[in-house]
This record gives sequence, structure tokens and C-alpha cells, in this order.
Amino acid sequence: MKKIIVMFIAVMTAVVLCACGGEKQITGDAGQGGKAAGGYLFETKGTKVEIDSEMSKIEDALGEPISYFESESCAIGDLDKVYTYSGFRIDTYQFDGIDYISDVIFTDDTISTPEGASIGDSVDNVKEIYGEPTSEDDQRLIYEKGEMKLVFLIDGTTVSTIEYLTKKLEA
Amino acid sequence: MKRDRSIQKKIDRQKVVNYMRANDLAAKEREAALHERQERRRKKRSRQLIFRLSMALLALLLVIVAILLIFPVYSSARMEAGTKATVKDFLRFHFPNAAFTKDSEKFDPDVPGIYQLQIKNGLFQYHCKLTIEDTTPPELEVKDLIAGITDSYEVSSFVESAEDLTDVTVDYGKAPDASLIGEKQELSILASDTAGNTTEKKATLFLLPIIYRVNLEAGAAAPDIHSFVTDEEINEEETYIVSDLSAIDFNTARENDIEVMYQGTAYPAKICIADTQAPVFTLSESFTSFLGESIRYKTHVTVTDNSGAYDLKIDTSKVNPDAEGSYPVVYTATDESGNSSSVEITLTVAKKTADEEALFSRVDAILAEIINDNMTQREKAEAIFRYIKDSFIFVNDSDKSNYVLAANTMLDLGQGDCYSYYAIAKAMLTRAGIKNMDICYYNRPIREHYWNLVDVEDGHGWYHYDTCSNEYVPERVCLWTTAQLMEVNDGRYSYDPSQYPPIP
Repeated sequence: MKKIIVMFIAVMTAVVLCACGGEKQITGDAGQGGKAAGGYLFETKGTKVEIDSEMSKIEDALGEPISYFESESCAIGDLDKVYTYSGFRIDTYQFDGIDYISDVIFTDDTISTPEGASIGDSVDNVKEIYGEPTSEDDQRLIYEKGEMKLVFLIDGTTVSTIEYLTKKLEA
Repeated sequence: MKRDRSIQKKIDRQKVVNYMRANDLAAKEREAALHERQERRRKKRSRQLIFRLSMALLALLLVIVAILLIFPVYSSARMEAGTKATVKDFLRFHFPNAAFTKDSEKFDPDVPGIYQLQIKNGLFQYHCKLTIEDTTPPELEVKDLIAGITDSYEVSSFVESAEDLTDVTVDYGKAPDASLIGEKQELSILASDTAGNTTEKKATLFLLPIIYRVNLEAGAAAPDIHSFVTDEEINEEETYIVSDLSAIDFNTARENDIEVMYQGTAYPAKICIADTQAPVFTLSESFTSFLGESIRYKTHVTVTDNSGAYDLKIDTSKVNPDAEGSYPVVYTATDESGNSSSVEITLTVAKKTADEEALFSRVDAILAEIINDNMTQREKAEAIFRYIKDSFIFVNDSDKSNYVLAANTMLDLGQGDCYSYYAIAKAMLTRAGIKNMDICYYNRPIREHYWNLVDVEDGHGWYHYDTCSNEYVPERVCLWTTAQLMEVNDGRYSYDPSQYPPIP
């Protein structure tokens, strides 16, 4: 009888200890811009730029922008910000005071995507790199992945702009 | 009588026993006394031994202290040149505060010689004569040499490396025989340092009857046999290039080993391709780009290089694409051999002019496809609304300085923000003959939103018309009343009614 009581106490103690230990993963509501989009990543100077991720996490690594301005949002969130760097621009939208990356837009042909596409490439070059697009028309090739889109704007037969865009701003 | 004798015997026996006992006791007493004396002697010897050892240790300590004080530094030292030495190498024992004095002779451990050193330790200064010797011969590596009929060959041509702490001179031990052409000959190469140490190595010289090395610039044509011989006339059956030169890339700088037949005998040869020419900019033009447009730097230069391959770097560090102005741009082309050239051009960033006529022309072409004269105003407005919704995508950016610019950009890029949507709708409604008005909401510095007011002349008056919708305003706000609009107003439609005519 005593042995049974001792074993019972030991087992209950183990159960209580297991319940007290361990760790609970708490996921808070990060608001509309909480979750990064995944998909195609832009990369510059060793820093990966992910759509819908927080701008503050990469701002230091990108260094001082060539120009910066703020504008009132007409889409989502509050204050929009525009950071212009050499070869590209990052736009952000704001939620609960946090700036999230809404798009990365190439501004010249001195840079390329991590997969090797640049402004000035032909449509065939782009398709050779990325395959058939999710959708296309006379003006653009759109590659959708995760919660973002990689868009190649076409001027005639060559790429005029390359854009990484969030889907959050679509209807 | 018998009884008396017995008693007497007993008494006698008792006397003997008593005597024996007394003897035993005495013996024990004597033994104890002996032990005691021995123990005293032992202790005495032990004390004497300890005393003597202590004295010896003390004496030794005194000797050591005397040596430390009087002879801490070696009076002379000898080392091989190249050995790294510090002051502690001259000390018999470790003295952390010992150092060379200021008037101690400076010595270079790589230079043989005799140096007078002065070392100070505490209050005392000591002298040491240092002798640096060089007894190590030079390290010599040689290589075999092939020389053509036009090549000169110095002794240095055979030396891969000759290293020593002192200067090294190289000479022939056995000099080459210039008359031995077409066969290998062994030579000896001597390397000597300033101390007279020498190293001898063997090398082979192969003198050829042809030109051994033909040098070409990258991009040049393949040579023929005449490039390898000095004969004016040759027998082509006995003298020709054996190797297949089509396998050689004449655009790439490298040495290529080939074989040449000369008068019936095969000899090795080399075609050495070097690239000493930098890339050439055949075109470099200054150009203008407009605010908001991507800049195509690469289309304004053309580069050629004799090797066919080069890397182009563009320095745009002085360019601000968001501000009007003129900026220098430097292009630098570098080929695989490291030859490079640069050119600077001027990029002018300008603001696009708001060309309303051009915009209308483009809009008219679109309207011709989507509306016709048989439609009512409402139907036209709805057709325009559908076209805009289907044709453009939302990007959170636009030039809000002018609706014509924004509308043209929207048509150029197929994308824009609410201002762009308002602008293209305004242009299309206007050209379709539909009465429209601008409307916007400002809540700076947080929010602003632009849309249109439309009157389709159905007697209602103004309607709300917002072609820009997104995940947060998914409704198709096409000819809506204010009541409808306010049901979906998340703040962006909180316009000031006093600024506008009544909007039912």
C-alpha cells in the first residue's frame, strides 16, 4: 500500500513539473502588416529585402538613402515612406506605428535580381530565368509567389522596370 | 633431620630464585639504561645532521645570491644571423626588469658583426659582447631554360629564387656553350652571400635553332611558320607547325605550348598571347532621364575589347534620381587582363512636361474601343470604370504634382496609387464628355485619398466614383450615393462637404 502511494505521488509530481516547465509559443496580433510575404526576395549588398517585412530590420544595413520622403497614404495604414538607394527604391506602409515594405522598385539598370534579371533584358531573357509567368499582357509579366508578386514592366520588347510588390494593396 | 634438610633445600631453592629474579631485574635495568643512552646518541646525531644541512643550504643560497648579483649577464654571446634575440637571451636567469641601456650598441640580427651591449638590471649595469655570424648558405632554386635562336640568356634566367639574409650574387659555376644548338647541356649555378657562403645547383639549357617564343596581342591572327624561323626560304615539307593552332583561343591572354618541325626535327615552341590593350568606349553620350522613370545607363555607351570580354562598372554615386539636375556618371570597363579605361558622361534628370494633348490622344484611342455614341452617360461611365479596374494595378506611389503627368505615367506603367486612378479616370471621363469633378480627403500627415465626382445627367446630381480599390476598400465605388459611401468609409472618404456642391 505504501509503495502504491509513493508511486502515485511520484507520478503526480512528474506531471506537475512537466506542466510547469516547457515553453508556450505566444504569437501576438502584429496588425495588418504582421506577416512577411515570402516569395521572391530582393538582395542588395548581402541584405535580403522581403516584402511586408519590417523596414527597421534592414534600414541600418542598407545605409543612408540617396533621398527620403514621406507622404500621406491613400491605400492602407498611415504614413507612407519612400527610400531611394542606388539602383532601387523601397516604399513602405505603416500600421500601428511600424513601417512595412510594400514594394521594391528598380530605378536603373545597374542592378539585377538575385536570379540575374535586369532592366533592359528581353522578355525571352526573363522567361528563360523565371519560366512562364503567372500572368502577362502587353505591359507586364507577373510572377506570383507567396503573398507577393514580381512584376516586369515591358516597354516594347525589353524590361523597363522591375518591381517586387505586396498583394496587400490589391482589390 | 630429614625434615630440616628438606626445609633447607626449600630455603636454598628460594634463595636461588630470589637471586635469579634479582639478576633479571638488574639485567633489565641495564638494558633500559643502554637503550636510553643509545636513544640520546641518536637524537644528538640527528640534530647535528640537520644543523649541517642547514648550513650547507645557507651556504648554497649565499653563493647563488652572489652569482645573481655579480654575474647575471653572460659576458659574451654568439648567434647565427637571422636569429631573433631579446635582452633575456643574454641573462643567466630571468630578470623581468632587465633592459638594454640607451648607450648599448644597436644591432641588426640579420647583419653579421661584433656588437658591444650594455644591459641594466636594477642598480647594476653589465657588459656583453655579441658576435653575429652568418654561416648559412643562400637558398637557391633554379629552373631549366629553353632559349630560341633570338633569345639571350643571362644567369639570372636560370634562377627561380635566391634568398639569404645578406645580399646574394649569382654566377655560373659552369657557363653555357653557345655552340651547342639542338641539344641539352648541363650548367651549374652558384649563389654566394656576403659572408662567402655558397650554394651550387644544376640546371639545363636547351638552345633551339628556331624562335622559341612568339608574342601576340590578344585578338591577333594565328602566326604561321615564318614567325618561328629566321630562314628566308624554307622547305615546307621539313619545316612547318606541327600543332593544331585552331585549338588555341587567340582572344585569351595565356602561354600556349606548341611543336614546330624544323628541317626534319621537332622542337618545342610557345605562342604567348598577352592583352595589353584596354577596352575602348566607341560610344559614350550624355543623356536625359525623367523623374519617376527608370534610368538605362548601359544603353548610352558601347565598349569593345580585343579579348572580347570585359566587365563594365557604372559609378552612379553622384546621381539623385529623385531631384532635377545634372550629374556625372563614370563608366569603367576592365578586361580579364586587368586593362581598364573610363569615360564620364552627364546624366540630366528632368521633370516631364504635362502634355495634355498627348494624354488626350492616348485616352481617345482607348475610349474608341470601349464606348460608343449609343451608350448613355451612365453606361459610358460604367464602361470606363470597368476598363480602369481591369487595366491597372495599384502601386503605392505617384507624382501628385499634376493630374496629366500622373495619368500619362499610369498609361506608361500600367500602375499607380489613388491619385493615378483619379487622374486617368478624370482624363477618360472628360474626353468621354461626362461631367466630373475632383474630390479628395486630407488628414495630413497621415492620410489623403483622391477620387472623382461624376454627374451622368440622370437627374440625381453628383455621384461618388472611385476606380481605386484595394484589399481594404474592395467595393466597386461606381456612381455611389454619399450614404452608400459612408457605409464603407474607413476614414478615407471623410471629405469636407463645405468644399463641394451637394452630393446626394
